[in-house]
Amino acid sequence: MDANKGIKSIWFFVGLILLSIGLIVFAAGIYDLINPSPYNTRLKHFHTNIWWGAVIAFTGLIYTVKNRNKYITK
Amino acid sequence: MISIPLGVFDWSIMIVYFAFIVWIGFYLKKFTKTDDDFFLAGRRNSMWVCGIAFMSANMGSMEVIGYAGQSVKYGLYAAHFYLIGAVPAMLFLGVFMMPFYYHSKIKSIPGYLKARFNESSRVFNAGMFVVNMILVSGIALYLQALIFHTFLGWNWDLSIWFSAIFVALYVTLSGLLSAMFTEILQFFLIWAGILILPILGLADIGGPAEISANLSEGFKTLWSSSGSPADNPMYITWGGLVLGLGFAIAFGYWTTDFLIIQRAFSARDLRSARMTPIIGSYFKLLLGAVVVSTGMIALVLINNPSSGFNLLIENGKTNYDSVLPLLMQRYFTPGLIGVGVTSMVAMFMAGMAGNMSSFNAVWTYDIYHSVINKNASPKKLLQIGRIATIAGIVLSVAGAYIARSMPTVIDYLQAISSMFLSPSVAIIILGMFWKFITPQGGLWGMLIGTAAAVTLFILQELKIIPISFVIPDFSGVEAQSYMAANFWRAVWAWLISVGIAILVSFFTKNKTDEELRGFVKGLIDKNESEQKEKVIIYKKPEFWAAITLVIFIIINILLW
Repeated sequence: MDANKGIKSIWFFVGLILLSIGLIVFAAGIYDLINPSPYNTRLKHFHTNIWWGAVIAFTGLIYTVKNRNKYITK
Repeated sequence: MISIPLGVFDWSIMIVYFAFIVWIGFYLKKFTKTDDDFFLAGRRNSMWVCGIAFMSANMGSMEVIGYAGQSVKYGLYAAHFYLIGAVPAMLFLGVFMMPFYYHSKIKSIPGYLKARFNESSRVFNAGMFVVNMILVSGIALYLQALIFHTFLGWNWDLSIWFSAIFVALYVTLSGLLSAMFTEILQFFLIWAGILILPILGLADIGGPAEISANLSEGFKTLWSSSGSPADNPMYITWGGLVLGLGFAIAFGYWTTDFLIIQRAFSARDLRSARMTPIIGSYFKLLLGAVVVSTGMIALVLINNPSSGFNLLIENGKTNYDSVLPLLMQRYFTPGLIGVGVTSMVAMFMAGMAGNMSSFNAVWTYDIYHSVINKNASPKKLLQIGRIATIAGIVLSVAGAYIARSMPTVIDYLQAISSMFLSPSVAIIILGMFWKFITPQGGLWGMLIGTAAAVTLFILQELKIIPISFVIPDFSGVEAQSYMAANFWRAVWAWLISVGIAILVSFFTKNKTDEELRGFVKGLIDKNESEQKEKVIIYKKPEFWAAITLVIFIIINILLW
């Protein structure tokens, strides 16, 4: 990250954090599928962590790729 | 106390979040060289950055967790906080008021009062703002620690100090710039955590029709049960809602609270600054839909004993703030729990960073630079801003311990804001649109309006006057409505401020037109009007404000 180019676009950071968190949620969903958690959660059969994790990760991927070369200048 | 189980994946999400926030704080530090960078994020932000940061500063834990609880207590009446209590004031700020604020190149709201009236108005308003901010931050910090303690079993003191030190770290590094950057990250995380809740909740109860089928009339309408206080759960009439919440309180918060308006001041041009609250209004409507529907789903579950869902009861009192964490516990599987808890942490961080970045700006410019050291260099102001952030956090921690010792802190919150903000908005709007108001008129209006509101509140708390004293439409309802009293107290404070300001203006000397140019309607620079005419229709803030207004009207009619 070159200070001369200005500040890296905020949307790039948004993308990175959503991608990271989405992937962890998705991985948790897959792990939960193989080793179901002992907690009695309602609507467990929806496997919300898999698809919601995928939605968050996909949104993050789009933001990261689209904004990887964008900078904020004065 | 209940416990939400956190697994390895959930902890990983929280660690990633904290690591990101610290990394961004250090990354931005090298771009924070001047006081303008620190307090106004260099005035380089786009309307989307400002609009989202504007909304994020408003999405504190009280606004999301608190109002989900209010939806259980008041049903659809809680939606008024997102509709009449937000949208008209946000649009008014963007369409009418922002040109005066932005064009005058002020660095804070007290700065506008100095430019329009005099130095005394500025210092009085800044003092009120600083006290208000510390009280509000202290209560927010206390509520956050309470949530961590109640739902995660975390140590109370550790929760308070860890949260406080963390916010102090990244706001001190690069001020408003890092506050806004992290607010935007937090905005997305909050949505990732709460957007899924009403979807799962509706699937659980059997669809939206179940809400309507299971709730009484007063809980599922906005206005049709507001004819008499006895007919609705908030014990209020439409008059109190429109004048108190919609006018005195909403305009006080959305149009003069520097905490949120500071984000618009960081915009790169006037159009972006004007679009900031208008973009915010769309998200406010969406947030209202998510939060209120989540609360109403909880209400349906509570009314159905076979659901096994109930709110937390502590010392015989229902804890309404437990709605969101309990629904997360009910529906969230591993990984999602991490996102849910992180979103609750993010709500607090966003609110607290907002409090601190506005506190340090007002303290530095409107108290330190204005009263203590008039010749301070920009470098010195930057240093004072950083010190003020740490001092503000320490005072908030002290405020949190005081709040812990109070029995019902949330009841005082609306009261505190209504007392401090209502007289300010009365004077700012009056001064902005009527050049007749003199500097002395503005100052005395604010002083006596605030004193009247504080006196009414103290007399009520000491039980010298009943709560019904300030409520003109109180028609013998036994239940005492703190909320209605707060709304009406704000109306009286507003009216007293306006009356005193006009009265004093008849007898005191006013500024000249030249001195008022740029600060009063009708005395705006010619360049400004020319710039406005060049923009094509769909880029005009008025166009997008009109669309929000239409959506707002349709929602009110559909849910009448």
